[in-house]
Amino acid sequence: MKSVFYLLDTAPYGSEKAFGALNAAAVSLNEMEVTLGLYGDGVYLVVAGQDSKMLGVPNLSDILYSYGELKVLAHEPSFVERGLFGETLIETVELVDEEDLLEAMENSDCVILL
Amino acid sequence: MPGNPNETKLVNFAMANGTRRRIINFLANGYGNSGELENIIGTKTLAFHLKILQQAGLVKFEEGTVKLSEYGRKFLKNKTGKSEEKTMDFSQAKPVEIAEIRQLLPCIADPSKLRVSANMLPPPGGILKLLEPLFPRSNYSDRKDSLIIQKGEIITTIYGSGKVSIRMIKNEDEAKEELENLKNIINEAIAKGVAPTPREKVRVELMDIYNSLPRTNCGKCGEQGRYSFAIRLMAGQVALDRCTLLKEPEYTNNQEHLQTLTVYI
Repeated sequence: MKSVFYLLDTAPYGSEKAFGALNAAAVSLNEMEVTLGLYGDGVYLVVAGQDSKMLGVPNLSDILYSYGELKVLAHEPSFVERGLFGETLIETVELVDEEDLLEAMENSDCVILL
Repeated sequence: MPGNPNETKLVNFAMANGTRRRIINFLANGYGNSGELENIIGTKTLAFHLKILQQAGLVKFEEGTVKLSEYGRKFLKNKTGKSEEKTMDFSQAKPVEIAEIRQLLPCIADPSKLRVSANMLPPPGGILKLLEPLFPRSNYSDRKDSLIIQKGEIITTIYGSGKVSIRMIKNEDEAKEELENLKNIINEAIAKGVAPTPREKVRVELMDIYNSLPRTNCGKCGEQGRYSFAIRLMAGQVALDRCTLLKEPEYTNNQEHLQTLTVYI
């Protein structure tokens, strides 16, 4: 089975990139081994307790809850740099350091940067 | 010592990383010298991980060595003793209610279907793992504390925190029906007060299925051949009774064997 790694480094709301990444990841789930990697501002996607009602867009963290089998890796130093250390996170996320994130990307057949 | 919710969050954050879980286990086994840890973990990120563990109060530094703090020791002890505690807890578990359906939106993989997010109260927490055998096609993930249940096309995920997500449903009524069923199955088990017997895990091999199917490649099931039928059967995309040849007397043994195997897929 082919594997794909979607790398997201932009904040979840304000652009469609995160929604696009989640869409792409969700539709590839049955056909491929999918990993969603979050880096830089992308890590905001897994902070728990998001409320997007006022923005009029779907709650992206609910998509992660819907696709519990999706492997989500988040770059931990990005959390620390943004003062998110100790925030409650969505259960499905695995925190990884620089080396592990890179290893996961290298081990995937293709990496798609959004 | 971590006691208040913010400090507990720090501990959860600290333990959400695989490398740090390994460090804690090594420390519990008596490793302490940073040279030893460097050999196991690598030099590049060790300092970063140790700092986070220290901030969470799980480790302390003493004369050039790293040790589990008293809190770290207690934390590990509670963690390893948890599963027994959970089993005993089942008799005290309270019936669950579906408190709120928060969202009903199109499914991402198939926009003609819907996905629904709901909340379960009280959160199943420790009993979630014990519920796995109640559902024929289900899988509990310890790390994510989630139980994924598959029923035909419908995939339901329950989280220890009480969040419930169902996808690939046709309409709101079906969502309500699914949630009601879920609640009833769980509450029935809780009413009995005894944790369901853990399901025996059997690994089903594709070749075992393939070899047990009639060797005719007749195509009556609508597939190209025996191999593609076996793959789709493994993926849960077709039912065994689509192979009509199995109903014939000469394949009775094959059918019985396949029926047993498909239970464990």
